[in-house]
Amino acid sequence: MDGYAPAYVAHNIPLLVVSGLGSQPEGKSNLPEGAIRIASEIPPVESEDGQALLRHFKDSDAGDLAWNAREYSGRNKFRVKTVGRDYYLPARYAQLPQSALPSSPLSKPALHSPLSPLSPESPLFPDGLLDSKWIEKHQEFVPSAFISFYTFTSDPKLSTLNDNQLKTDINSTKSVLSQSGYKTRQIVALLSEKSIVQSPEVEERLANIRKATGLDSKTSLFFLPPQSSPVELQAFVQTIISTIYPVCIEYYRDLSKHSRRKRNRGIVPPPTAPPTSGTSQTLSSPGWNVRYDFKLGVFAEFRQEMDAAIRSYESGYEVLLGIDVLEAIANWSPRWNEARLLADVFAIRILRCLLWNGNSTAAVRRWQSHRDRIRDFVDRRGKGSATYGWEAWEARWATIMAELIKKASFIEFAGFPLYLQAEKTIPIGERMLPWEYLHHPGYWYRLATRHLMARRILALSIPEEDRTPPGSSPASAIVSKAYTYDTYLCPEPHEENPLPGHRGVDHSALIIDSLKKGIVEFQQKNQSRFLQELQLLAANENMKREAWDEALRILRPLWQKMSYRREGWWNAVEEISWALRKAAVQAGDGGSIVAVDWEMMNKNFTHHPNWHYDLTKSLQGLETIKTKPTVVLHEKDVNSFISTTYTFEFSEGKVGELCSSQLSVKSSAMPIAVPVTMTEVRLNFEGSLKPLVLRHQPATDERIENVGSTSLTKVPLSEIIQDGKASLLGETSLTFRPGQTTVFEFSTALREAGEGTAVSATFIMNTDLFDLEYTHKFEPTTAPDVWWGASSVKKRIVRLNSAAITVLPKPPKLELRFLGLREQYYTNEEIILQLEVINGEDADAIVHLDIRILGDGAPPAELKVPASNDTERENGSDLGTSIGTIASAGSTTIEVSIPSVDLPAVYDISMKATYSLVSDLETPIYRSMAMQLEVTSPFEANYDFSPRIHADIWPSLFTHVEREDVGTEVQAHGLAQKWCLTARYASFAAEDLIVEDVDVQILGMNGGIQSYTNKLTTIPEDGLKVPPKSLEEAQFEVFTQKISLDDRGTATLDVSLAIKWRREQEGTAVNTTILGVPRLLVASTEPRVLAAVSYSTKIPSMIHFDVTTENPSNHFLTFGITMEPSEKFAFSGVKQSTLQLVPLSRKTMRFRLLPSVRGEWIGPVHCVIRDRYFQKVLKIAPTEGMRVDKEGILIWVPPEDDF
Amino acid sequence: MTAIPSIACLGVIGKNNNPLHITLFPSAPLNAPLRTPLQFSLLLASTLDIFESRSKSNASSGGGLSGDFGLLHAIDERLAAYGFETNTGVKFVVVVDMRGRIVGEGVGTGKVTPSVGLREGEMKLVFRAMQAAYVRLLQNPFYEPDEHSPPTGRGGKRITSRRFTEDMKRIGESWVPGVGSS
Repeated sequence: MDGYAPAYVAHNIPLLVVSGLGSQPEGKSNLPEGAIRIASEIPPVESEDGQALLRHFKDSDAGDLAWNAREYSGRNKFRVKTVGRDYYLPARYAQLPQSALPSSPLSKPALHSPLSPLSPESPLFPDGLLDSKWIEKHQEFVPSAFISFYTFTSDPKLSTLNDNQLKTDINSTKSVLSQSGYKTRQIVALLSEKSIVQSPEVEERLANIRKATGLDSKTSLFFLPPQSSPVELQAFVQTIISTIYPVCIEYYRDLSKHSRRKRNRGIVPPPTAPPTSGTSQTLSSPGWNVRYDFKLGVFAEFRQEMDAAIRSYESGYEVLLGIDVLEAIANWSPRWNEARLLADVFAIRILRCLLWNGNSTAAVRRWQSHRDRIRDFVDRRGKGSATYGWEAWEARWATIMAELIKKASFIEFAGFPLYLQAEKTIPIGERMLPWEYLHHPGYWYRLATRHLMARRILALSIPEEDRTPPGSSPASAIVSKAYTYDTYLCPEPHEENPLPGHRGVDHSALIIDSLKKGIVEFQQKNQSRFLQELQLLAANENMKREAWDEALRILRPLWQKMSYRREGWWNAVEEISWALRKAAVQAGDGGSIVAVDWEMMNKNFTHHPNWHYDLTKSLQGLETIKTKPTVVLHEKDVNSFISTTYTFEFSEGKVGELCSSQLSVKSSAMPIAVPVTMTEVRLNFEGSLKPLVLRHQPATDERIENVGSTSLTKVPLSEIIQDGKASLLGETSLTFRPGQTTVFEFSTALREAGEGTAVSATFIMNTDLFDLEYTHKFEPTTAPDVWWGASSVKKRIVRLNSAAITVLPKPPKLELRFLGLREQYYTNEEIILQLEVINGEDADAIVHLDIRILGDGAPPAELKVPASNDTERENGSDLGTSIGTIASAGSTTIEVSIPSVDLPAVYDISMKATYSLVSDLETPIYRSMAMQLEVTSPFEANYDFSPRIHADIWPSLFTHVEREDVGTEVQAHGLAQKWCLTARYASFAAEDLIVEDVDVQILGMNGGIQSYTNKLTTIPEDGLKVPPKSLEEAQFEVFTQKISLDDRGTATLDVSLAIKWRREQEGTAVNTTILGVPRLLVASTEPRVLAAVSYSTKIPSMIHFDVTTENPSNHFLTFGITMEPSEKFAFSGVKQSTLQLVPLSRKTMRFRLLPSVRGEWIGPVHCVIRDRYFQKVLKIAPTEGMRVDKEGILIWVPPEDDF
Repeated sequence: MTAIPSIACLGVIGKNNNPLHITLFPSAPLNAPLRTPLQFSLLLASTLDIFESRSKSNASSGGGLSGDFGLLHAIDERLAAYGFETNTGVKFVVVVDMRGRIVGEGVGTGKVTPSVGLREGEMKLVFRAMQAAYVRLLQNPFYEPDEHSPPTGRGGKRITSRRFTEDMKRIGESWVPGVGSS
C-alpha cells in the first residue's frame, strides 16, 4: 500500500492524548502555522506509579491491531499518544493570504480550514478533492479526549496551594480547548501521593476541585487512591479507557453530524479568495459531496461502524467515478491522477470494511469491479490499459489486496484452507468464479508478480527515443511521451527502462520482492510444490539481474530436494536443472555443473541437439571454476542414467565354496551421448562378504565395441588390502555405452557363515577437471532379477532380494552311529548302546561328546570311552565326555550303559559331538543326533486261583492236643486249606525269549495265616523258549493255615510272579521280571462245597465223584443233598439225603459214576447241596480234573485206553 | 458475446504423484493453450500439495469418501483447478479457464463481457467420464498399473494408450458449463 499516503489507507481509531505522565521531548518545528498550544505550569508526574500508568497506556495502543472486529472488541480501543505537559493542536482556521488582505473591513472574507479547497494556502485550492492531511489531522493531532495527569499532594500544608494551582491549570487548559474550536473532551486524572491517608478531607478537596473546574466526576475526573498495586494501576487505566470510550465515540458522531449537515445543505461555500492562478474553476457540488461522503466514512470508521462506513464510501465512490467529477477532469491535469488516487483510496477503504465484516467474496468482487471500472475509465479517458503503467497499477492493486487480507488476519487462514468459503449472504448454488473464494495472500502476491512481469515486458518494448532522459530530448518528444505513457504511481519511461548507463527501475528486484512475500505465505500453508515453482521464478529473476550467487543459493537446494524428481515430473526437473547449470557456470560451482550434466544424460529428458552430452567436456573451458570439484551423488538425489543391480546366482552357499554373482550396469543415456568411462567401481557388502573393487583397464580388442545391447564379462579377482580392509580387485573395461547393459560376473570364495548382502555400488570417475562419485544402492525392485548367461541368454530369478546370499556354515563330516542296536529293549534288563563316532573329515578331529537322556524318570546312564577306562557318571541324565583325537577316517566306539528300568517308558537320547579339526582349532563344528529309546515290558500275565481239598484232617473241637512249644516259631493250629494258583503269562517281546524259571514269591499275608507255595509246573533245564505272543502256564500249590483255630477272620495273601528270562543269544545275562498278582482271598468262615474226582483203579471206567462239604463256622448246619441222574452216566450213592455238620467239621459224600461215553466231558452233574436253614444252594467248587460251565460241573471221562 | 469457462487442461496423476497423462486445450481468443506445457505441469504438480493436506484432514475427520475434492485452488482470475482422487490414489485434475471460450453474437469483435461462474459439483461429470476412461484403460490386459506407479514409490511411466488420449481430448472439448448441474 506504499504509494498512498499512510493516513489514507490506515484504519481509523479514536485518538487519545495522555499528558502529564513523564516529560516528552517536544518538537515544535514541524507544526503547522498557527498551532494552538496547550501548556501547563505544573510539572509532569514523575513518580513510579506514573511510569507504570504511562506503560499501561502505551500497551493499550490499538494502532497495530489486525483489521478485524475480533481484535478491536478487546481492551485496546484507542490510538494513544503520550505527551509531556505541552501539546499543540493544529490551527482550526487558515490565515488570510497576504495578497488577499481585506481591502475593506465590511466584506470580511470567510475563513476556512487550512486543508479545505476554499483556503488559498491549501494545496487543494481551488478545485482539489481531498488531502491526506485531513485524515492525519484527526488521527494524529486532534484527540477525541485529552487526559491530564496531576499529582494530588499529600502535604496538608501545601494542599490548598496545590489544589488552587490545579484548578487554575485545569481551567486554563479548558479555555484553550474551547477557544480552539475543537470539541475535544478534557479529562483530568489525579494521582495521590503515597503517604496520603484516605479521609473525608480528601473527598472534600476533590469535590472542591470538581466544583471549581466544572468536571463531571463520573466521566471527566478520575482519582487514583494511594498505594495502589500494579493490578490496580492497570485496572485504573482500563477504567479510564472504558469510561471515556463512549464519550469519545460521541465526539466522532458529532463530527459526522456536522459533515452530514453540510452535505445536506448542498451549497458550495465561497472560497476565502477567488482563484487567481491556473484555472478559475472551483470544486463542484458533486466534488463537495465526495468530500463529505469520505469524511462521513472516515468518522464512521473512527466509531468502528463499518456498515455505515461502507455506505458512505460507496456513495462517495459512485459520485467520484460519476460523470460530474472524474469524467469532468481533464486527463492532463494533475487533479486527474489525484482523483484516481482518491478512487483507489475509496476502494481500499471499502475492501477493508468488507474484510472487517468477513464478507470475503464481496471483497473479491469489489476488488474486481474497481479494477474493471478503472480499466474501463483508463481505456476511455486515459492512456489505455496496454501500458506498463496499467500493469504496474494492476500489480499494485493485487499487492494491496494481499496486504489487506494479511492485515485482516482471518482466523480461518490460520488453519488449513487455502481459500475461504463464500459468506453466508451469498445464496447457495449461485454461480461463482473460483477466484471469488478469497484465497490466501500468497495467491495475490503471485498475481502481482505476473503483472510485474507483464509490466517489464511492456517496459522493455518502449522505443529507444522515449527512453532518453528529459534533459537531453527535444521538447516534442517529451510531449508525445506524456500522451503515450501512463505514469500514475509509476516512473517515467526513461526510468522505467533506462538507457544503458542510467539509473532506473530494477524490475527483477520488484518481482523477487513480490515473490518473496508470496513464498512466505505459501510456506505457512505447506504448499511445498507451489513454493518450488516460485523459487524457480525467483532464481530466474536473479539470473536476469545476473545475481548468480543468489540464484545458485536458491537453485542448489531446490535442485537437490525438489519433489518433481521423486514424482517424475521430468520437464520441471529439466527446467530447474538447466537453470542450475546456467547459474553454476557463471558462479563457478563446478560440482553443480557436473551433477546436472550427469543427470541430463538420462534419456528421460528432452534431447537438446546442440548439447555435447559428454561428461568429460563438462568443465572444459570454464574459467570461473577455481578448484577441482569433487561431486558425490546418490541415486536418490539424481535421476541417473546408470542403474545397476547385483545378483547372486544362488540364494545359499556354504563356507569354503565358490559363489557366482553378477553386477549388471544399465546405461539409459541419450542415444547420442558419448560413452562414459569410469575409473573405478566399488561394491560394498553387508555381512560376511568382502568389498569388491573393479578398476578400469582399456579393452585390448575392439571387438567389444560391437557387442549388442548386452555384454557379459567374467572378471577374475585377486585379493588386495585397501583402506586397511581386505578387498577383492578385478580389472576390466568400465566403459558404459548408451542403451547398453554391461554385466560383470565374479566368482568369489565364501569365507564366513552368515547373511551377506550387496549394499551399494559406487562409480568413481576421476578426470583432470573433476572427481565424481556416484553411489547406487541395491534395492529390491518390482522387475524380476535376471541372471545373464553367455550370449545373452538370461533366466529370471524368483527371489525376494537377489542381492542377498545366505552363507551356511561348513557341513560337519563327523558321523555318529549306533552299533548293534536291538530291535526292542525291555524292562528289567540293562541296556548297553554302542555309539560309534566316525571322523569323515580330512583332518584329525578333537571331539567332545555330550549325551542327554530325556523322559519321565530317565535313568542315570554311564559312558565308557575305550581309550580311557574311567567311566563317566553324572547326576541326572546329562553326560559329557571328551573322546580325544580321532584320526581322519578313524572311529571310536563309546559304550552307553543304561541301568535296568522297572517300568515301560520312552526316552529321548540326544547326542551332540563338538569338535574342531587340528588344522583349524578356532572353528567349532557341531554334529548332533537324536534317538528315541522305547523300553517295554517283556511279559504280562493273568491268574486263576481256585480251591483244593486239603488232605489233612481237620482238627476237632473235641480233641485237645497239648501244644508243644517249639522255640519262638509260631505253630499254626487253625484250619489248613489248599489252593491252586494258575499263572498264564504271555510274551510281549518282539523276539523269542528263554524263560529260565518261574516262581511265586509270597510278599505278605494278612489275617493270621501261615502259608507256603509249591511249584507244580516244571521248566526244562536249559529254559523254556517262549516265542512272541505265545501263552505259557505255570501252576503253584498254595497252602495256607490259620494260626488259631478260633480265628474266623478273612485272610488274604499277596504274592508276585517272578519270571527269570534271558535273550536267546548266548551269554546274555538273566533278567528277572516280577509281575504283580492280584491279592488272593483265603480262609473264609462260610461253608463251602468242593468236588473232587478220582478214577477207580479196580473197575475200569468207574469214576469216584467226591463232594466234600466243609463247615468252618461255629454253627450246626443242616444241608439237603440231591443228586439227579443223567443220560451220560449212571451213578451210585445217595440220591437224596440230609447232611448235618457240627461246627468245624467236614464230610465227604462219594458217588460212583459209570459214564456211558468215553473221551468226553460228562455232565453237568446235578448235585445240589442246599442249606436247609438259609434255603441257599451252595455252589460246588471244582478241583483238578474238573470243569465248570454255566449249568454245572463237568467231569472228564478219559478215552478207553487210559483207564 | 460472452466468455464462458472451458477446460484448459486435464491431468491424470498416479499414486506416486507422478504425471500419467496431461492434455492441454486451446483457450480463446488466441485459440492456443493459455500457458506453456511446463507451466501446466507445474500447475498440476502444485495441486498435489492440496491433495495431500486435504486427504490428511479428510482422514482425520472421516469425510471426503466420494473422492471429489471440488475446487482445489484458483491460480488466478482465469485458471482454477478442480480435483478428484480415486480410492487407489489416482488423481484427476481439471484446470478450467474461466474465459476459455467465447460464445454468442459477433465472435471476434467487440468487448467480451465477464464470464459466468461455476456451481459446486459442476465438474462431477468430467471426473466421472475421466474415471470411466481410466477404468477402460485398466481393463486392457496389456496395461500394467505397476509400471506406471511402481510400489517403490518413485516415478512411473506415462500412459501411452492412444484411445485414452482420445478419450481425454473428447472429454475436455465436449464439456460446457452448466450441464448436469442445474
